[in-house]
Amino acid sequence: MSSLILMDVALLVTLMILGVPVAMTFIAAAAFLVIFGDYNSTTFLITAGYSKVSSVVLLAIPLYILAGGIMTQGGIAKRLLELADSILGRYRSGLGVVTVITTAIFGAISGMASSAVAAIGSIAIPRMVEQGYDRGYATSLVSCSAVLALLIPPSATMILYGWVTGTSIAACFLAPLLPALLLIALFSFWNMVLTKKMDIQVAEVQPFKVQMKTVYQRAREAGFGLAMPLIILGFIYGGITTPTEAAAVAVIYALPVAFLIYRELTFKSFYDVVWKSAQVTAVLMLVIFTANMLARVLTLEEVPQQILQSMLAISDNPIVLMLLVNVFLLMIGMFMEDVSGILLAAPLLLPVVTEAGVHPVHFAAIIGTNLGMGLITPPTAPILYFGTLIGQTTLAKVVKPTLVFVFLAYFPVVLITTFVPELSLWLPRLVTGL
Amino acid sequence: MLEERQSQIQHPIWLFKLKIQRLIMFITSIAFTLAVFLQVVTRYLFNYSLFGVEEFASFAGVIMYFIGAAYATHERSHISASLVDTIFGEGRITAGVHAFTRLLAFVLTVYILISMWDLLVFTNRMSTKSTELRIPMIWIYGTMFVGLVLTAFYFLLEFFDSLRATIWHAPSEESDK
Amino acid sequence: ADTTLRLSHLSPPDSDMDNWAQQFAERVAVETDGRVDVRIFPASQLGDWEEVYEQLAQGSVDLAIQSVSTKFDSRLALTWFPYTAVDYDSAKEAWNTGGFLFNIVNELIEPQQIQALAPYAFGLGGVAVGRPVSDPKNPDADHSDLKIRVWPSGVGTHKPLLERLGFSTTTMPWAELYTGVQTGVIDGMIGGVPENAVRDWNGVVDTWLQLNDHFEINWLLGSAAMIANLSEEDAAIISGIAADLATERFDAVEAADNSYLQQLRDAGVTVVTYSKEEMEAMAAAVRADAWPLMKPEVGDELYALIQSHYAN
Ligand code: NA
Ligand code: NA
Repeated sequence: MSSLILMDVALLVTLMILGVPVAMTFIAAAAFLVIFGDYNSTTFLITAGYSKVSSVVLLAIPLYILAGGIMTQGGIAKRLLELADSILGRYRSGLGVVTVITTAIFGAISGMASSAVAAIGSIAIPRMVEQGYDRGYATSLVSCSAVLALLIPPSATMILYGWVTGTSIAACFLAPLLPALLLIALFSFWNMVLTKKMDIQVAEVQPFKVQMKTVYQRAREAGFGLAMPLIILGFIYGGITTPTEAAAVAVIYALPVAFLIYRELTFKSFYDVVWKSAQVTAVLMLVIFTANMLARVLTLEEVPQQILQSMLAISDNPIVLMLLVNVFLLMIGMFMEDVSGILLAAPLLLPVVTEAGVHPVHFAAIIGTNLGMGLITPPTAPILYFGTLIGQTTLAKVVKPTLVFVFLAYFPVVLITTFVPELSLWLPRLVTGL
Repeated sequence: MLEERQSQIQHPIWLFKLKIQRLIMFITSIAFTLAVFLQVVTRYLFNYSLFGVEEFASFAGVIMYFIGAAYATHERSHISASLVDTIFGEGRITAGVHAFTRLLAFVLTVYILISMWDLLVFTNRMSTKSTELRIPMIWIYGTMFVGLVLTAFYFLLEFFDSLRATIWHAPSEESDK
Repeated sequence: ADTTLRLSHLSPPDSDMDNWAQQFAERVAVETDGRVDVRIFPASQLGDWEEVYEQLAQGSVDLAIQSVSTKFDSRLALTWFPYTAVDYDSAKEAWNTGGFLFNIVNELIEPQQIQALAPYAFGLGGVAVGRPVSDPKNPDADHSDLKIRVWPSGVGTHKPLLERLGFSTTTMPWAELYTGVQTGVIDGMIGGVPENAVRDWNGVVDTWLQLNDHFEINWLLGSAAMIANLSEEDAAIISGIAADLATERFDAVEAADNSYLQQLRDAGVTVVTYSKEEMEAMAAAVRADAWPLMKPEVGDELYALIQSHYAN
């Protein structure tokens, strides 16, 4: 690798650590290469960014954010939680499992981990604490499971991956789904182990009939929310709409549910939800805009080829290559959140994984699980930090359980996903034919 | 805490401008949602496609992104990965580093604005039009330019706030956790 | 090398276009004694062709092999105007360097600071459909249950064309096309040649209609700024190589199309080809009924020119 590129990476990491907004660090890294390189015009930076953000395909991101926002404002999180609670609440470690599963289902409505933390965390954490769960533990559990939002469709991360690599978004949506189920199982298992020593009060066991009645009532309430992911998936895989259009359908569906059925949305709060969702999107889009400037300059400097050559110089064994790819993604995950990570890593690593014989849809799952893990691994762990804000606790108190989830749940899943292609390819193959 | 730091910008014109930004974000969001939905309805139910709807939707999206990015800068909600806050907590060091990073963010936005300006001049000279609706692209690029100018401006404001906090070391801004 | 030129093109590595680009780069290196180094960026790495076209005009990309965009001048829709030069010999005559359509295009793009160094003959166009098509040779058949995607800048010409031939038309972003046909959201697309059907639509094409609706012509385009920076000698060498390669490609394109059609048949795709009379029937219907609707795209002057050349 050329020294100019290494200096550029150093610049990028330094500015990130100092806290320069991520979008601006990408401009800095791009500008550095342009200034020291051979370029006679810089307008291509703008057209490179514009051509990506003006894509109709990427409209899926604001649309899913908006659909999730409306459902959240409409009170879906609370209803999902209550439904799960009426089924599993009477078991000792039940509320923890309820939280994991609710977050997973909420992830099927929302495309972003942060909205899962905010929506589920603000209800589930106080409730767990009330039952005797450790606050730091409860926060950690919510934050770690919130990452499921990007592994369960719809997912902003997968939309971006499909978009930058030219891979079918419908197939990418399904790729990380089984790894996500594996994570849910592992989270639930470690939840049982870790809550053993806690003094947890469980609600009295109700007679079966009474319990069933509660389950039925709450299922009816939550059903309108639960129907949303089914509608989205049905529209996409049933050949009615593209993933982007399914997102618009989801928004339109969410409106009567939130306004008329749940009756928790008013015109004032609707107005606020829309512009606040727009703001969330805009922050992401600015990152996408500038990340594409940097990506274009890296292409012009032929960096992907350089990375491929340096990795092949170490080994051309597919297993070693994929381990290197995972190390690379781990490092990216240390410093970047998933959106920036995908935009930078996917084009850089695609030549390497292709060389290792990995299918792009399989790579979607690998990159998704890796960068998802990055959201909760220090030094930069945005979802964990956000979780501590929602859970009103400190980083020190969430670190220990988080390490358990990272090393004994995430890490094994990342490796299994990498080396068992069928786990990520079986479902897309079955549904879309790949 | 946020409100306190931004207390110097309560002028009615200022608030009106923020109100307009929120309105634009709302209208554009609704516009592309309806446009994409309309496409589904006409194609699926009536076997008929409206041409240009997608271009319209993507333009509404771009306007929303850049006006929204400026608003997000005002609200200080950009994604950043600062380790300085985590290590040093709130105080003079963090405020100083913050002042530096916002100044840098301002400079970098200006760098992009210069390229953007070149593109505007080029677009104006060539009278570039969109391929489907034949909308003059100067309008779309122009909106991006306005959004980025506002973004740069808000970074500059935040720089001055942080600089003030560094020099006078505002102690009241600690405990928000 | 004294000069490094960045060449963008839209086909994947090892495609016909990529091989053509590699040959161009090699010959330029040899004939300029290494003074000019052409670096190739395949597969739209430097942006899709609409964006790269703008970059050519701004001088940020030096060379590109792709279509000309209509964003600065809608008359350039001339390059895919249906049923003009639609057999290999007349296409070569009209489009090859110095040909009558080549000259018109080169004049149209001159104010955009772009120069057409040479045409690249992509092949004869057709329609890829994910389902069987009944009665495909009847210009008056009803295919309204088939939704065919038209690329954005082709709407002015190919929407009227398809609708005249009885199809429904629709839009869809390129990135969603393959899955769109796979899941059945849409049924097919126009705007490609047999090579696209083999490479890009592999697995979703059921029927390929070799409509010959237009001769898909791409261009080796150079930014005027780049050419101005070259020595006169090197500029002449590059133009010469481009012209030679263009002719070589014209001579090879028919065989390429046929070999791709055979690959389609081998893969079990129903390939519909048209005899001269059948093709004339399709062309006559389009020229009579759809051409007038396309007139606003190319303007009165060019339309009159096309009519005088091809209408009878
Ligand atoms: Na999700
Ligand atoms: Na991390």
